[in-house]
Amino acid sequence: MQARIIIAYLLMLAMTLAPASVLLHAPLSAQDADGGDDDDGDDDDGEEDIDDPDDEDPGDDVGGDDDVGGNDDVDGGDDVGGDDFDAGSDDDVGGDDDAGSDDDAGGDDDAGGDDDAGGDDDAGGDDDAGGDDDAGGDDDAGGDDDAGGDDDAGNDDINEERDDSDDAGDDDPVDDPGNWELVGGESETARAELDARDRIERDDDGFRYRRGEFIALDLSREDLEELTSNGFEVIASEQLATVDGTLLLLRGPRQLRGEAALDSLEAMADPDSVGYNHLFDSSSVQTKRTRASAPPERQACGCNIGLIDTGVATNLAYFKHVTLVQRAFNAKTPLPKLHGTAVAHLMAGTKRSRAGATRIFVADIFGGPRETSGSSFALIKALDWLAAQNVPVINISLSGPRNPAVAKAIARVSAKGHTIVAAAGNDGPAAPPVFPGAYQGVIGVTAVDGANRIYRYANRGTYVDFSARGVAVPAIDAKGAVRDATGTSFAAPIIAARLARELRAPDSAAAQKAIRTLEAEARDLGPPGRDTIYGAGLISGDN
Amino acid sequence: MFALIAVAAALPAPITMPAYKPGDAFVFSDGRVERVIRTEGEQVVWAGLSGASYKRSRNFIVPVLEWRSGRGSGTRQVRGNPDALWPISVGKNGGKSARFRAITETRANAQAAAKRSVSLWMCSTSRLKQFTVPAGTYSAIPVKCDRYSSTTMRLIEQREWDYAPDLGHYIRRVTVNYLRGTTRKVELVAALSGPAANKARLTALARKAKASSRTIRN
Repeated sequence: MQARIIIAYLLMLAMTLAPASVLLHAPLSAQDADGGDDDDGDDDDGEEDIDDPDDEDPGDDVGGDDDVGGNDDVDGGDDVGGDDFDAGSDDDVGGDDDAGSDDDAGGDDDAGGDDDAGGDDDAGGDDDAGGDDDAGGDDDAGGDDDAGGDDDAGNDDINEERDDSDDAGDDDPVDDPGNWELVGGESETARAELDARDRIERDDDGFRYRRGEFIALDLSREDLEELTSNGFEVIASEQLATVDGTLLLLRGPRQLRGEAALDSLEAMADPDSVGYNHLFDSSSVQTKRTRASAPPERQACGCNIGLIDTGVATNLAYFKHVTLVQRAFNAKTPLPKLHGTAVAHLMAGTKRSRAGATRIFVADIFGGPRETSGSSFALIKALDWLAAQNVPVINISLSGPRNPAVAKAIARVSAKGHTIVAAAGNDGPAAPPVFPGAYQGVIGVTAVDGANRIYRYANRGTYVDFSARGVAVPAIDAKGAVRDATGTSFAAPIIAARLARELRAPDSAAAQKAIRTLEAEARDLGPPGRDTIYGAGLISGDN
Repeated sequence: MFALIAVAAALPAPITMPAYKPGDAFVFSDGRVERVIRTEGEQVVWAGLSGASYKRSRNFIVPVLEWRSGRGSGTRQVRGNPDALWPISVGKNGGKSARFRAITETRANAQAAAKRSVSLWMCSTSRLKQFTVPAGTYSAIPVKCDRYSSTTMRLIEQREWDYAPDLGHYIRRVTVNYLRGTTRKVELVAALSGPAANKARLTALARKAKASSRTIRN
């Protein structure tokens, strides 16, 4: 210890003398301006009297009991004027030292904690102004036709879409994956305002859900009676043909808010069957304009495949060589957007597959009233419809919270031999898992760039099964313009298409075999063997 | 020649200084949230969820360079070369060191006279180790800095950051204050980026982290 102090002292001396020797040769004015350092009577040692944010007192940000308010000095430490702490003690030569030490105490400013999500409000229920949706969803004219089929009429208004319009500033440096896009092109602030208007709240984990609304899959008659006698009301009911059972959209009693209503619901019904009517996000992805006038040539998957996403611009020439069947689950007609169009195009490629015809079934759960856009209720209906189309693989490039009813529906569809492939999520490398990618049995896909480096924002975890190119992927938007799209959303369809190509119909055993084959083919990245970053490794999208 | 190339290829890449992007957010076990507001060259402007922003070097061993607290404010100048620590080699002889002085100027309010203090920092790295924190298990490189009083050369404080190159941030920070006889340790609970790093989700994570650290303490 002694030796350490002596060495430190000598170093300190050297560092002090070095600038001083420079000053000896500097003009006087410069010496004055320099502001020098110590040896001017300043209180050495003491260090920051005003707590700096390094002081990590517990507390801050949340809930904030502690700190703030400026009174930071608290325990004797720091704070202006105060120095001294260790007063009396010896060591210090010249005296004044080190007292005060700095930090801490007080914690840093931010406390307050006022921010919390949540919302005020409300009083329950009368909401849904905008009326929800579609009830039933089956309207969409075109229904199930195929044949070239863009059922969606709506295509023509794609020009009005905000989030497909190109990003203002564009052309950013090469390694900048471009602007973030949220559903509807909203900023975080705009989203908060619109959410308040649309009666969208945040659950305990900060995920969005429709205030006062819950979904339930397969409630027993007794449970339902108990719920209704306790003030819960059935807003919509859907008989599910393939998932099996009945999906209910419930509204809680007016006097019960968010969590209290959910607690009450869970006390009366099986907690594995009920949950908030969460809203999933499709579009936390990055896109930017590209100079390319056309996407690179690639064969279609030559498969039957389903996707749950935004609507797809089925009238684009890019889709002429495949059959697209589209249906809306939150509106009367699908609404084409960049996200779904890009994902569908990654499956469709640019030319017919030699392996056979390609049929892509699109379930749009986002078009329609904003307040129910991407709802769990719509997602389960979409899943049921896609399963009824007998597609062996369903791609879900969405992410959101764990939701018991959604989990149950996915488990049922998987048990019938359908393979669910989902994006691992773009929440960050140490973010909590997002779903459906993290559900057991779902194939979670992460994204890498052209040099096989992991996408900076990709989620990591044991639920990551495969990697595929998902950074600056040439994709088309709803107007047919070529863009570089980035996110795990664009890696998932590569894996989904590869699996679908091996499977003609839903079949658990065949699906397992196809997955094993893909694992064997995967190029191991990162630490040897399967890992939480790349899963089994990289699968190429080349056909 | 080929052998040399093979050896070079087998060596792990040196660990470079973290590079942050606006929106990157880190939630720690004490409920603290560090969120990148913007970057200004080599400096990064951070803020918690509701407090004032503060500026620091992306080299996290350098103490905060500019901050406000209540009516008070502080700035710091650095003399020496704290960046000499980077890049950090991972191999056997990877330990690196850096030393610098931090000259701190604080004001209790805008009108108050500035108060200065100086301290000496001596930092060094050691070898990669596995750390398990609430956010997961990471290989991290411990970076330790000792802070000395500039007049007495007394050891005032030691800070350790366990920096996970995979994540681009430290996953654990331990501060030992020798004057007060206190040790404080915080661990990373989650790191969110992009639109997911919104206030609602960060608040929820911070609240849970804080609640569970209270539970552990109780």
